[in-house]
Amino acid sequence: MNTRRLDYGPLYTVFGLLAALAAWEVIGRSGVWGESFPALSAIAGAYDTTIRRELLGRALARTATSAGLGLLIGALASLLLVSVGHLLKSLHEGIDSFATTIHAIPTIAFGPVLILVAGPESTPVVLSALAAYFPILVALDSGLKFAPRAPHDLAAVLGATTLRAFVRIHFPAAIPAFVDGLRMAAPGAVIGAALGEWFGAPRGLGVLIISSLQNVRIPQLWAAALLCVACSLSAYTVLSLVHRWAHRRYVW
Amino acid sequence: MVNLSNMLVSAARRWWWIVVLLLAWDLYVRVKGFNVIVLPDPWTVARAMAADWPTLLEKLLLTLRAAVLGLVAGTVLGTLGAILAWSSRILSGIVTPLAMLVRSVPFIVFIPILSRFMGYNTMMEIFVVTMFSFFPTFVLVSSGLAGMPQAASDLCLVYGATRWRKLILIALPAAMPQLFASMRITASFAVLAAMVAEFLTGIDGLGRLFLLARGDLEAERAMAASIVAAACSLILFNLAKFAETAVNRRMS
Repeated sequence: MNTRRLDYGPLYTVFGLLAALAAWEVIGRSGVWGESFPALSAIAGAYDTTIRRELLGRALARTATSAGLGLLIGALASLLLVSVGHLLKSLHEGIDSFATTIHAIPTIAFGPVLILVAGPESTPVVLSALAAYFPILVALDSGLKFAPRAPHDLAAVLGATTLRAFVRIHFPAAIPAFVDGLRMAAPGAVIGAALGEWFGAPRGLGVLIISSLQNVRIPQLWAAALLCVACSLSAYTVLSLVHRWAHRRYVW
Repeated sequence: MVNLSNMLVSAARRWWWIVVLLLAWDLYVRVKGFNVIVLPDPWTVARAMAADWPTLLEKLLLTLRAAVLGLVAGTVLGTLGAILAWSSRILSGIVTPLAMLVRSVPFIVFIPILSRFMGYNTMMEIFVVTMFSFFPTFVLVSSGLAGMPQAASDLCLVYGATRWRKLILIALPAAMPQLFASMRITASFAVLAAMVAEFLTGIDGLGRLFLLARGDLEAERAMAASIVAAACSLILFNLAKFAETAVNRRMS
């Protein structure tokens, strides 16, 4: 029973995806939802000249860089916070409440402050880090908490310091969880970057989305939004592969 | 008396970072010698909040209304969708992997497109929040329904329970922890989505204050709006967390 479901699962998914895309094309061509909902082929038209391709390409490069940097900074900040909380137990509770509180604040609320402190160029990166760090932090924290018991005991018996046990045992054991957190944080990083661009950055997909909206360039608007999706999905896919590798390498 | 001092100590252990943050902010403004237009100090922002509270409260209520209505609609629809997918193997084979895929889509970038469909009005804002809360609810409740105890499922088979009774008596109660976990996740997202919609389209609410304050160079009003939004989001988040804890205690 179970194996049969496994066999057919991907088939259903591919079928569902193709059906959705075909429906999109048909609805777009029929025009029943108006010109705001173009067919996929019409959106592909946004890439038909070199100038347009370069425009979208530059915007994509900008946003992807911001999101990537944001993810990196978010990961490093999480690593720092979790490590400090793990090594200095008295700070653990405060760090925990700090991380949860910052996460519960809507990212857009940091916009006005960041635009003043970090400037329009760096705001996308910082917002991206703010939108991305929490899943990484949670995953890392639980990864450290549920590290295997036996090596931990071994380290204690052999007289390893807390720091040494952390570097040699707890941290490597938490690497798969860390990568899993990165994977879940990827969409947040893209959202943060686009939001940051809306606060007045000069370039990027977010900027292109707004200017396409204002100039009623509908296919370009969709093309830019779909590039954001592609950015997030490809980061998710790549990190899923890394996660699979990390799981094989570090879990025993 | 002992109780009070215990409470103070535990509060200090949790919230010391707020004091650090405020002092760092004040110090930063002083050292850089910024005037109020460039970057206001915390006390100026506090004064702006005190002076502006009727407006802030009014805008907050507008944002909150959209966020809560959308949150409720998204949670209800997400749960219904999960039940629908649960009741049909083919449907769940098609929809469940797609929902996982859709979950890593950065929806915020579609707000400008949605505004073209629905116009710049409160309905659009509520719809955005609904869409945001739909997918996490769908994915989590689906996994909750699928994860009902095997023994209970066997019992239903033995007693010849109808699918409907199985749903009401066993699967839905088993999915309650996931339902409340998804509400905790979507609660802070709801305020974010509502504010971004207001910020981008100028629908009245807290998000619109950012738009106006940017035009008028009134940084302290924008920051006051940020703080109100953060506080409101934190309250929603903690309410959801409280409900989740209560449900988990009841259900486990």
